[in-house]
Amino acid sequence: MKAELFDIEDIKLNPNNPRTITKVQKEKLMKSIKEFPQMLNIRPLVVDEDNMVLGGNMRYQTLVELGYKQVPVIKAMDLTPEQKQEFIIKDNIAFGEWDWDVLQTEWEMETLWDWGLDSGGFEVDKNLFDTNFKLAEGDKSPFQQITFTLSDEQHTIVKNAMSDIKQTEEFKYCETFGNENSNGNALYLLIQQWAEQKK
Amino acid sequence: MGRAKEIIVKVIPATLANSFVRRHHYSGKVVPNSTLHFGCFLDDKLHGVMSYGPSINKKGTINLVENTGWNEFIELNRMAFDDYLPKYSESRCISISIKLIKKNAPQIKWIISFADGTQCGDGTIYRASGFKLVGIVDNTALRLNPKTGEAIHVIQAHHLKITNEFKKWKPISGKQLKYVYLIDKTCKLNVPVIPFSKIDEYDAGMYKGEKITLKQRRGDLSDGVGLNAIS
Repeated sequence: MKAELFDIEDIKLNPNNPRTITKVQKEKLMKSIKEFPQMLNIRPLVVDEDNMVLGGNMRYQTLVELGYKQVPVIKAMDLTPEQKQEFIIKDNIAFGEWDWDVLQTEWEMETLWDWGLDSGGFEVDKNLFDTNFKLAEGDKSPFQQITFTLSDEQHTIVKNAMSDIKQTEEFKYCETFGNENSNGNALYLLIQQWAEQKK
Repeated sequence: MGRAKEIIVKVIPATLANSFVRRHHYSGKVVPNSTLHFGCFLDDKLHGVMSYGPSINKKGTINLVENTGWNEFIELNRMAFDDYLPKYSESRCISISIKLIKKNAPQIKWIISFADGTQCGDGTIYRASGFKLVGIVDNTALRLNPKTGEAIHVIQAHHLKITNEFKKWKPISGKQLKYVYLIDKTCKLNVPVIPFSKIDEYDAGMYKGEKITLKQRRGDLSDGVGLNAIS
């Protein structure tokens, strides 16, 4: 298919275009078109039989803003609605990955940014962070936590036993080793008594 | 070193680190008990994360080095970098993170880390960063869930309360390699240092998920096929 020059006012933006563009990206695109307008001939807009843009909605909007009167266009006739939808997505998918080693060797990175190449990565302001931190110091805590899984029936029995032993005199004078967790002390006492019985 | 010198390393919050790790770590998973996260910035964007935290099996690990106190070692338990970072970035970032640990947490005497020789690599970056190899074992900790094909770690299985089911699954074939970096050079290892050449002897060689010996890689390097780090 050959590109033809269309009046820009005859072209319609796709109202359901799924792509968006940030202000910064738009500025880069604008700069890119100004600096290298031949790209428009090499890679024209693609429209359907009703002149609605299928490929190049961002370029179309930018060209309108830049005051272009005519733009190169390829008219894709006879596409089914499904094929149009497929085209809109596939036109924006970049298969493959950039080889950043090659890019950084063969191109100037600043130029690549100017051309709108995105380095990936997370856009986060590094100045929000610093290099200070603290990590735990000293000896191991003298207290431990253990997690068990019990059936409902086991849970009731254990809970009742702990509750019962907390009412006893032995519990009042139980060796706690500094532990202030009453459930831990109750469990310890129950097991200690069981161990005594086993002797 | 090239542009790797331009990388800036900062302490970043867990939420940011974890979302980066989920996207860029080969496992797609984070380690919940990571407590210290470093972000690696280049050209004003975050391109790498290193997460440190206490070892999950602290009691089993503490004796690797003589006279280690409870809070005197730390585990480097996640490293994720995107492809944008130039050569040697990983070892440079590790080096900076170690300097920051020395400065901010002088109680830390050594660092432990593990290389997953079943799915990722045999620890090229650790070796390039001055870590000592102290263990090569058959993997038993990582197993494939036969229903989903997902790789599950034994600790993750414990948290998911599927340990009994996990035990029936087949471990992923390959080795786990254990590395230690002594920040305090006066520390003495309680285990022998394993020469790197043993990696080939144990058939533990792996690079970027592909089985490959160190010898083959050296050959590749001499043929001009670039690898990111020294091995």
